[in-house]
Amino acid sequence: MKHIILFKTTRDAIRAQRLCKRNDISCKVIPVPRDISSECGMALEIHNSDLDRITEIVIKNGISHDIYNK
Amino acid sequence: MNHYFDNAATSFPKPKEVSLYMSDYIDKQGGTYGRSAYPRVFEASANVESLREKLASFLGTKNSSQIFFTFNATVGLNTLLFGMDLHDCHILTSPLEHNATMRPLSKLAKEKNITFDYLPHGSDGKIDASKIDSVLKSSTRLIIINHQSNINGVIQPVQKIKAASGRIPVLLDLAQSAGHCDIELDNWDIDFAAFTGHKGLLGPTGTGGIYIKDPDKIEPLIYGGTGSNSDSFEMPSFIPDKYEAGTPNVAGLTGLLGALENRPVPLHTHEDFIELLDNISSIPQLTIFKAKNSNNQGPVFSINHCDYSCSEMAQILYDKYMIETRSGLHCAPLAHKTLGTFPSGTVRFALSVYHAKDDFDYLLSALRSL
Ligand SMILES: Cc1ncc(COP(=O)(O)O)c(C=O)c1O
Repeated sequence: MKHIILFKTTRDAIRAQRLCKRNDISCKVIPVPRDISSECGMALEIHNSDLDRITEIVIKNGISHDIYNK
Repeated sequence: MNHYFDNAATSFPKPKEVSLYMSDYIDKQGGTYGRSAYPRVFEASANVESLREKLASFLGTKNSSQIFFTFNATVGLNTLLFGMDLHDCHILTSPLEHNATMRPLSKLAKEKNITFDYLPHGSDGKIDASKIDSVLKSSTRLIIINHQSNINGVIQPVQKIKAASGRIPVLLDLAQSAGHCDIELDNWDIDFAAFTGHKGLLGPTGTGGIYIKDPDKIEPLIYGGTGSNSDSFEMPSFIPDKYEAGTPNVAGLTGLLGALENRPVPLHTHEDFIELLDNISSIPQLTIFKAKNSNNQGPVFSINHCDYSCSEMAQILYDKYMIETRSGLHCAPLAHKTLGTFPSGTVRFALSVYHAKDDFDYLLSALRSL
């Protein structure tokens, strides 16, 4: 199972991707899926098992986000 | 030899990485900022975000999220001054402001019932922070300071001015100082600032930005697409999107990143520069306009000749010595009024890190032989 994290801004998506990289968490930059949002832009796809860690890290860094099950 | 002394207009040369980063972006990398998610776009956008971080440390703030890109300092200053909802109030400015501030301010004065005065200062335009009390009014809502003059290089004592003006917000014009002086937006508790990328920061033209301590206080100037909240006709209220409608100058911003990641070591020292000023001051035909105290002297100064007009002098310097300068009012009539050189103007010399002591010697001998 995978999760998708959505961000308000490109800047936040990039910051989150960098934080994942710095913490050795694998993530993939994907377009925001149309069924989740009409938004264009970047989202991060992550493994279910990393969800808690990533959530903790982005919250700690003040990055607002939404999480969806794929 | 480097005969280019017009670095206050725009700096030249640039670190070689400016064009390398830009040509790499234009020829190979490509991609817009945000709006899609394929690697080309991610990389282009990530460079813009790296620049935001880099600029934050350059400007002395931890809050990189509060830096927003504009196309130069002028657009930045317009964004700040027209976005603040200023009306029916009083504003104080330095006596050495550029028209990038004075023209928006003059429009606000006419249309929004705003009055303005100049901060108390010495004969070189340096603000006297100890006398600020005497010009503050209960209706004073903003203090605007051009951090470093583009005419005589005076660096204003920003920290003292901020301390002396209590809770009144301070807007700093960093167009000339960024890349030349120490800037500490956080420690000085600055509310607003505008900078440009193509002068002392050594980046390409078409780059610049603003810093806003509290983004709730400024409405956007430009409205349009941001790649976010696209289902709505309203501008997003969140940052940076609120202030960054439209496709940014990705090529230029990438070049500015190249400049900041590869800052050159200056080829001269401050002492070399002050020695040059002292030597020029002793030429009897010339009047020099510089800071009274060399501690607050930035790398810009002006001169006038007793016989030649400033435009004649600039032409002679170029024709005989290939020395490039700018004569006239330098878009800063207020500064020239303060210094007593309005409307005739001056010839301005603006240095860069790429001047060596030899270049100063060459300039000095040219000025001596005028
Ligand atoms: C003090 C000052 N403020 C603002 C500006 C405007 O900068 P830009 O032309 O990059 O918008 C300049 C330079 O032209 C300047 O010297």
